[in-house]
Amino acid sequence: MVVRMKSRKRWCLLLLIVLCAVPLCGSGWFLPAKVVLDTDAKKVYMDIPAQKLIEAYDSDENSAGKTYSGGCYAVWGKIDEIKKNTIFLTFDGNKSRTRVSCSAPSRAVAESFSGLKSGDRVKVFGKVTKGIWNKNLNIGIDKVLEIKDPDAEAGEGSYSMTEGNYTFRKSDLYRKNLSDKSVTYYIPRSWTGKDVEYRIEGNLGTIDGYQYRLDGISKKNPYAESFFVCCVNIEEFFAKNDRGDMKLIEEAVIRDILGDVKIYPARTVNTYYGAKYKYYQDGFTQSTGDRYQTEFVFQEIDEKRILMFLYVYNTRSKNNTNLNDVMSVMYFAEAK
Amino acid sequence: MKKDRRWIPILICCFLLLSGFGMKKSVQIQGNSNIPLINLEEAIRPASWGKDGNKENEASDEESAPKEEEKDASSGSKEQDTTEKKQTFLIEVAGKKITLNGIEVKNVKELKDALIENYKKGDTVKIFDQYAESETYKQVLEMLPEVAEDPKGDFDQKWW
Repeated sequence: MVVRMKSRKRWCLLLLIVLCAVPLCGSGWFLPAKVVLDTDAKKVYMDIPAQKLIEAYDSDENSAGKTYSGGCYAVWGKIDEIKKNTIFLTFDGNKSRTRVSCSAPSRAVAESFSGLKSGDRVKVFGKVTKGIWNKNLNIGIDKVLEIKDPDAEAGEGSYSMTEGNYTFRKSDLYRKNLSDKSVTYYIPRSWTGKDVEYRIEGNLGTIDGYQYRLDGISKKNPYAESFFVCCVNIEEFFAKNDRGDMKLIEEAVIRDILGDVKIYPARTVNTYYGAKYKYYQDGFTQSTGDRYQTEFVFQEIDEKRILMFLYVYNTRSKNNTNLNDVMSVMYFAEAK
Repeated sequence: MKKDRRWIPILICCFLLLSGFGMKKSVQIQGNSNIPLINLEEAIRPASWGKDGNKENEASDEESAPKEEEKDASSGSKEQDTTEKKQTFLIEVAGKKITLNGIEVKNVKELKDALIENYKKGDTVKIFDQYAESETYKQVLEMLPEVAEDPKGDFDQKWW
């Protein structure tokens, strides 16, 4: 009798496990694929001369700490000293003891600047933190690049990205508005040509937004590559009773664009610049048979609006050379 | 209830909870279900295929802004560029329709906003009116001096 009861409990437990696993499997309980629009891997760094950091720190330590700590910067300076895995940056004519201390978080990063020496001009990409026990401002290094052009300087309002040592100024970007100017974003000038920029509403769909055909910039890429910037007006597209759940709204938007597809769980990312994104990835097969990857990025502005970025690229495309520009568009987008 | 049957309601409750019984699983977009938010089939065509069916962006033989010597996939520069890039704005008026650099704008106000935000001193504006001296064209001409008063600088008008 006792043996029979124990056996029944075991079967019940097994059945419970199976019943729990079924809905989990059905909901797609898998890790999503690696994202392409990875804000951590492709950061936008604000350019700043080491002199400005040092002088701000010497003038008012606390204020400098509040202003710069936590920000991602490309610090332009001269190497004063390299000790093991740390570069100390200074500038010509620096009379104070303060230097910017840049630490490599790994051996690989440290080895990447092993060829540099005192006196070299460099751009150090990383996150700024304020030191507690010493007179130094600290940077956790993401990358170090040598500045070869002796005339190059960190200009006001300029930004850099590590890939390709890419530099641009925000003032050179073209400002665009959505949703009655409540959403603003900035695009490179090369995106403003008639071969590249297309209004969606009234032409390619019903949503307020623009398509950017990135393969139309140089026309060297034989495969289509597009980036969409749109604002989902929730009150316009969803009935009152359907407005409460953002996840369901986002899934409805995806299904409306891609058709009846299986949607995998979103990955939520809190970016280093304060935006919170939800990523969804899927595929789209064109009537020609070409297969495209689609990456939806939703930024919930408020209960009435969702900012949507959509990146579409052909699976046969070897490299996506426009990603620096795409990431900068996401970085500067803002909503009132 | 016998001890070994107490498991049954627990199992049923767990299953219902995990399968989201009673919870809304999806919502629908209201409005015209025949037109999607984005028609991807139409939108995704390689630029190398040539002109697409999108009439609003039909190519014109005239040069459109911004002029660039070479359009590169990366619009930034490898080294710091200290000179500001000049650009050309092309405004085309055809009846009530207005386009700025090939993109249709809803009205003269939207055109004005776009110019105020992006025009800089030294840029060029070209205006083309398909039907000479149309009402919309006159409104655009009346608007342009207001853009010139924007703190960004003087306004340089050139038109055919």
